[in-house]
Amino acid sequence: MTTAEQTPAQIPALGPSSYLDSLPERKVSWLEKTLGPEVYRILKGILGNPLSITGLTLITLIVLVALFAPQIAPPANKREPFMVPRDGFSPTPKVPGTEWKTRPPDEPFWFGLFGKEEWTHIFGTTGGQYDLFYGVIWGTRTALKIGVIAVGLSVIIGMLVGSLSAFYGGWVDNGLMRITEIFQAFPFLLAALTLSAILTPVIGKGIWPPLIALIVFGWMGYARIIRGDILSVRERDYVLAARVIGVKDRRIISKHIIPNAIYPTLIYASLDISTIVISFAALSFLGIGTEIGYADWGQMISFARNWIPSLATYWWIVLFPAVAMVIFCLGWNLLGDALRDIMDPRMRGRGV
Amino acid sequence: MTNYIIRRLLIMPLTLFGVTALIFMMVMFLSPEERSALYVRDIPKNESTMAGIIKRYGLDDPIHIQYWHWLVGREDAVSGEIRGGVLRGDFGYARSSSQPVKDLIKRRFPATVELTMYTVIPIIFIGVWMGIKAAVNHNKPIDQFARIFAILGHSLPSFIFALVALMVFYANLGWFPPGRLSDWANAVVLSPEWNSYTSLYTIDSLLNGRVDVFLDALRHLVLPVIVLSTISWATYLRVTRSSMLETLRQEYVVTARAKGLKERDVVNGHARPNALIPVATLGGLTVAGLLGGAVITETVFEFPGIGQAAGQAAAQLDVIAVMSFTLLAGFILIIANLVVDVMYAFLDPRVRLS
Repeated sequence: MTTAEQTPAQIPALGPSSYLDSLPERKVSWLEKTLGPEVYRILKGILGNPLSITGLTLITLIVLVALFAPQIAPPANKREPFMVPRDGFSPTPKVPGTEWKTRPPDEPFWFGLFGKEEWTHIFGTTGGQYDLFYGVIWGTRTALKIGVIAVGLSVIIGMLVGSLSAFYGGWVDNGLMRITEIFQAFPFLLAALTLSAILTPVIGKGIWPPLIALIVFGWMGYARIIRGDILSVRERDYVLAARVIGVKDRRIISKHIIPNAIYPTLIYASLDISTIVISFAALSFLGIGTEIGYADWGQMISFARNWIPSLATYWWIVLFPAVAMVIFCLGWNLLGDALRDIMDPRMRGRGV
Repeated sequence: MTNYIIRRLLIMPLTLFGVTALIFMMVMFLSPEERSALYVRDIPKNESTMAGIIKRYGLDDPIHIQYWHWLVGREDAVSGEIRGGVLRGDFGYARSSSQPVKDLIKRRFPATVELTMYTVIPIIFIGVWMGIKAAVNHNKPIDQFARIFAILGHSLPSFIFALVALMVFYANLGWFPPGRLSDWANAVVLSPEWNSYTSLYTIDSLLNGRVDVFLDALRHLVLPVIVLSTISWATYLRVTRSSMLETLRQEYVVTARAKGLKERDVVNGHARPNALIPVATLGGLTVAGLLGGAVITETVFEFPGIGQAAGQAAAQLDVIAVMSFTLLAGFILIIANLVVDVMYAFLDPRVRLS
């Protein structure tokens, strides 16, 4: 737009419509037409930045591994695929490449392609002989599952509280926001630790006690963001304009307020998956949550705690789960950082 | 401004009520047997003692009465002394380590304070320095580098970073061991000649004239400090950077440049003080967070602070103990929030004058 500096006097006095006609038409590609301007802009921003492309690639990789976990590492026990197969009970970890002593699980199809005969512990084993490769691959599935459930439920609660607060205002708003603040008054991890310690005897060991705890102390951020967004969108000029030309309330809410107030939150929320996955892994690392032998990264890594003085020898018990988690978080954060810049309205039109 | 501070102080009791009520609601999930840890150390042996304890400490009273007693304590019908009462600092018993939670906190808190002291300085100074460098060199290589560095630090889960650090610097190189002191230094500290002034070993050792103990304590602090600061830099960098970018766009910065000031004076004299106001808030919260216990880092490094104690208690499902640590951390955060808000009013004229 070169017309920004023009004063109204310089505009040809032919009336507004012919002035608009005199401007060169912006080319709109078919892709932009099908996706809509907002999605198109986000997509263009992501694909135009090497950092976010890396992030997107890493996340795609993670999702594929989670989806095809049964093909990559076939379970030994089909009924309980999340339990990591054990190869004996020896307390000493075994080097990557050691062969299975007891009956191995089915050999995955891709292993034959490398011309190997015998299915081995390709990532080694932990103390207690849990197969690390299996743990890391199925741990990816656990991580995604946890992340999606926890963030999904937190967003739903946050959305309910936030929109009730914004729509009713007054004492409802006041009360709900005070409650939100109280939930935020605790350090997240300690509060989650307490609640999972309380819930574990009640519902038994498993993914649910820490998951519930992460949700109970995790929804407040979304409630506040959604409340704020709804309040600010409600006052925007385009909502006012819609109201002036007599659009019905329901249509204003569904067409103008919800897309502009909630979609940004959904994108932010999806980025929180990595935070949730780390918190879950941290709880499980501390020994809260899943039963021993469950395929989750935090637990795989916690096996290393017994070997700290000799980690120089048993490096693989830290390395493989650590690499998996770092790839996961890095992918999510790289994409998130780019998205935050693209979504930030102050940065719009600055050629992100 | 006085109004603002008074209003802020009036909210305090309300928050305090909410926070304690929420914790107490969680406590009420427990069986009376577990709740008896609020008043007695040992698990009641049989049902008749249990019934006696329930009666003696009113564990079947209506919930609001129990809440009140939990808050301010309760006169023991037999001995006549006041037992319990979290506001009095009596949190009950940590059964996983058979001692009153109060003693546990007293013993573990100095380590956490010491860790906080040494962590806050690099976090704030280096984080802010990087943020300002990134903002001043917006979109230049330094900025990109700082951002990647921050993302990397943020992406490393603390326990992985801590374990890898231990693997390299302890298992391989033997430089920085876990724990708070080596065995020989511990013996010195526990010996009768040692005068404990502050319970912070780095300070006490100097006051006792033992440089070797001082160096040993310092050696044990290196890794936890590095881990805690690396994972926090990202936040400081992001906040400082965006606040600084915002400030550099202000008209008074343009004015300062227009009247011909050197760029260094514009940044250091005009932009930086104002850009740092949000950072001050963040700093207060960081200190409070660290004082509440860095659970993961302390656990991996076997650093005997309250974070490690909380982690251990939770792993053994000692709810009364974990809950007490959470409540303590909550209290610290509430006070920090108050301090930060008041400080904000002093720092920001827009708040001060409104």
